[in-house]
Amino acid sequence: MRLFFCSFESIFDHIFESQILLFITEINKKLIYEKKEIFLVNFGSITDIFKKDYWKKRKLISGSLKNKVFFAFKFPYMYRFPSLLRLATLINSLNCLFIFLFFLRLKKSQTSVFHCRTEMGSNIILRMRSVFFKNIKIICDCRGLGSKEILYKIDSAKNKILSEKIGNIEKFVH
Amino acid sequence: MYIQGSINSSTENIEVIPCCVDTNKFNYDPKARIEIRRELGVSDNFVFLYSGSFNKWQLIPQMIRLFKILKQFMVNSFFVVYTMDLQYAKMIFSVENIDKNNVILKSIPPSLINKYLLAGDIGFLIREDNLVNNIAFPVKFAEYVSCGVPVLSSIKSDVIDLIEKYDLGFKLKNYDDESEIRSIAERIKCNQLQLQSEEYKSRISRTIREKLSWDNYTDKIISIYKNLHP
Repeated sequence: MRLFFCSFESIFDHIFESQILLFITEINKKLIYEKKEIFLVNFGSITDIFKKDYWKKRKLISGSLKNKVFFAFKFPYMYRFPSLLRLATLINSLNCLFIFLFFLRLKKSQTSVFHCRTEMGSNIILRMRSVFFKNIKIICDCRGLGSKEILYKIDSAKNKILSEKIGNIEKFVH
Repeated sequence: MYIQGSINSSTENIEVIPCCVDTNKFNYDPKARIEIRRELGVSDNFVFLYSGSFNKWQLIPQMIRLFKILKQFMVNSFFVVYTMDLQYAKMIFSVENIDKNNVILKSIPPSLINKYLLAGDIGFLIREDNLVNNIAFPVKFAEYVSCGVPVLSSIKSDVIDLIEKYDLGFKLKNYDDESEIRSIAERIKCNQLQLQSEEYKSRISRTIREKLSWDNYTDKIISIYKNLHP
C-alpha cells in the first residue's frame, strides 16, 4: 500500500510550511513505527518556477522530507472565466493521472490512500480515480468549504459553484 | 460540523481535525515582544494587529473603520498591519482617510512573521457573514493566539466556541454595528492591563499548544489511514 499526501499550494506560500511541511514531518515521525511513510505530491503554482529562490527552496524541502516529495504544477483555475473552471479541473485531473502513472509509477490495480488537501484538490483526484485508478481511496481534507477565491471572484456564479462543491463533498461521504 | 449537519445519512466517515499550528515556531516570548515593540516604536501603546493579504474577503475597509471607533476609546492605540501587498495597503489606507501617525504598515517575510506577531495586543479576524466563513477555521487564529495575541473575531465557526470557552478574545456579531463595536471597545479598555499582561498572554498561548498542536491529532490521522487500508 502506498500513502500519498496531495497538496495544491505554492511552495512560497506561508501555508505550505505551516500546514503541509510540518504536517508531513510530524506524521512521518509516527508512521515510521507502523513501517509506513507518506509521500508528498505538491501541485504548486506554475509561476513558482520563475521565482528567484525556487530551486534553492525546492532543495531545502526535499532535504527536510528526505526526498519523499514530488514537485508538480497545477493548471491555474482561471477565476475570471468561470465557464473554464470545469476545463481547468479536467486538465488538472489529466495532469495528475499523467504524473501518478509515469513519474510515480502507480499501478492501476495498486491500492493506495490519497490524503488530499482542500476540497478542490480532492475533486481533481476523485476525477482521476473515476477515469483510471479505481482502487485508490481518498481522504478529502476539505479545510472549510473549498476555495474562497472562487467564491469571491466569480460573483455571478457564486451560488451555483458553492452548491456544486457541497454536493461533491456529500456525494463523496456517501 | 456543517457537513455532518447537512447530510442525512451516517457521518461515520467524517472526522473533524482543526487547522493546527507549529507551536514551536509560533509561541509567546516576552523578551522578543519587548524588542519587536521597541523596533516598531509602540512600546507604550495598545496594538491592534492584522497580518495577511489584502484580498476582498479580508474586509480591510471594515477593519479600518473598526479601528477608527476603537481608537476613540483607546487614544494611545496603534493599528499595525503586516502584508506583502504593501503598495496596495498604502493606497487603501489613504482612501480610508485614516491618520497615518496611528498606523504602521510593514512587509514581513513569512519566516519572521512569528516574531512580529508578538507585538500585537488584539488581532483582527474579520470576515463576511456567509457559509464559507461560518464554517472556516483560519490558521491565522491559531497563529495569533499562539503568540499570545487574543483575537477580535466575527467568524461564527468553531473558532467562537474556543474563544468563549478559553477566553481567547472577543466575539463581534456584526462589524457594521457601531453600538456593538463601542461596547467591545469599552470592554477592551477596561481589560487593557489584563490583555497586555504576561500571565494572560502565556495562558492563551499555552491553550493553543494544548488544543491546536499537530501532535494531538497525528494518532487520529494515522488511525484513519489504517482504517482505509489496514
